[in-house]
Formats: sequence, C-alpha cells, structure tokens
Amino acid sequence: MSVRSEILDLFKQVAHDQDMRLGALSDELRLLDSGLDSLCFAILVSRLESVLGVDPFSETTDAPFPVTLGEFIRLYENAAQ
Amino acid sequence: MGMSAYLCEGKFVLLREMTEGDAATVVNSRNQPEVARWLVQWAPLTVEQHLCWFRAHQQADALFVFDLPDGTPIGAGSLYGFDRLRTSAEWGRLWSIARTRYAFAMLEGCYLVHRLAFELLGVKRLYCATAAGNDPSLRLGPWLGYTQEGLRRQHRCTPDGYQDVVDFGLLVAEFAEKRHVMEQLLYKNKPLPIWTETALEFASSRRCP
Repeated sequence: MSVRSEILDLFKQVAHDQDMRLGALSDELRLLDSGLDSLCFAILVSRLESVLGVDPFSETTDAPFPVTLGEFIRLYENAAQ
Repeated sequence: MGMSAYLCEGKFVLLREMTEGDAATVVNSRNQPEVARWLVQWAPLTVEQHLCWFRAHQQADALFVFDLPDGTPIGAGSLYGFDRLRTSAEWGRLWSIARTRYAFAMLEGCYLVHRLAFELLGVKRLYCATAAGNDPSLRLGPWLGYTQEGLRRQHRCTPDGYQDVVDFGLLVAEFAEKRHVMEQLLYKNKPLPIWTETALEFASSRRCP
C-alpha cells in the first residue's frame, strides 16, 4: 500500500472514529478545511507513525507546516524514503 | 546547578508558570480572532489590562504556559476558583496558537496540568465550561476525561450575542481511569514525564495549609 493510500485511508478512519464529517479529499484541500480538528490530527499523526514508521513533525520542527492535503502527503512520502 | 524554570519537561512541551514577561504573547494570542471569538472580549485586550489582571490573580490561581522545547510559548491554561480546602478548581483560560501545528504540544500541556492538579496539588475534582459551538474545546474536555454535567442556556453575553455554555466535570478517579488513553497517544509505551523540583516546590506552596 502506498504512503498516499495509507494516509487517505487513515484520514477517513480517524474522521469516522471521531465522528467528524470529512471534506472531499483532494491534494488542494486545506487541512484546516478538511473537517479534522487538532485532536484528530494528533491521532492521525500517531497512527501514521505506527503504520509508516515515521513522524516527520518530530524530525523537521523548523519546516513549514503543510497547508494542504497534497503537502501533507508529500511530507510523509519524503520522510518515508 | 539552579532549579529548572519548568515544572515538567514533557515530550512535546515544557510546562511552567506564567510570568509578567508573557504579557505580550498572551495579549497577542488572545486578540487573534479565532481565540477572541470564544472569549467574552468586547474590545481588544491591552498589555496593561492583562498585567493588571495577572497581578491580581497570580497568587490565588495557577497560571501555566506551554513552551516548545526551544522555549517558544505556544499556549496557556489555568486552574482557578479553588475551593477553601483546595479540593476542587476550575480548568480553563485555555488558548493556543496554530492549534493544528502544535496539536501534540497543546494536548500534552493540558494533560500535564491535569496530572499536576490531581497528583501534586491533591485536587479531587476539576470542572470547566465551554461555549456551545466551540467544537475543539467541546472535544478536548472528554479527551481529558471530563463528563458533561450540564448546559447553561444563553448564559454568556458576547459581542456576537448570547451563547449557551456546556459544563463539564472530572473526578480524580475518572482521570486515573482514563489517562492511559492520553498517555498512549502522547507517549505510546515510553516513560511518562516526571516533575521537577520546581513543580514540587510549586505544589507545596499551593496546597491547602
């Protein structure tokens, strides 16, 4: 399963588990408009670390935080390489 | 070696007491529209107003700031309204900058304040109130273990009209029962942060005599 697929699957899973309504997922979708709140993102990042074995946010604290879903996915793809 | 300025050095955040030096940060943060929206704030807060408020509250209340490991403050939260025996208190005055970016830091800051209240201050019950519609705060309460206890209808008069307020409560036994969920998210199976000497001194000065 690709990094992109894992992320998209977990977006949907976390939204479902947390009873949040998720926006239509596209690379242009702004994370703040995705329907997930900060608690959801913490859960998402934690689960992604378990699945992918990387946490790009703990490794690149000075890097700009991704604004869109596409940037979020690329951050993980680069970290997983 | 001097004592740490911090009460606890967590994985994502350093917990310390608020000082007068935080005034500009507090004021700037509280005046951000997404923060001010949920505060009963009829006009932008000024540093002078904040300092006046801070000096009046710093002894009776427990005012905390959450710093990133590099020392950058990213949020705050407080315990206040202690009862006579200091067995219950209100949790609130929470604000954060870039909530999504610093999600873990804010969650850990909130978790550490609750641990400090129950473990070090000997509090038996915490309660908090959140404006209905403030969804992130409404979800944070239950994550910290709170149970909804009530709803005050049209309780707060704000520049945007009257708001309902949701009341939450948390008992020490409930926190003990539910904290493993928070700890699993924050630390997985790694050791929990420990209190510094500063925290122990802070607690002994704040407990009921």
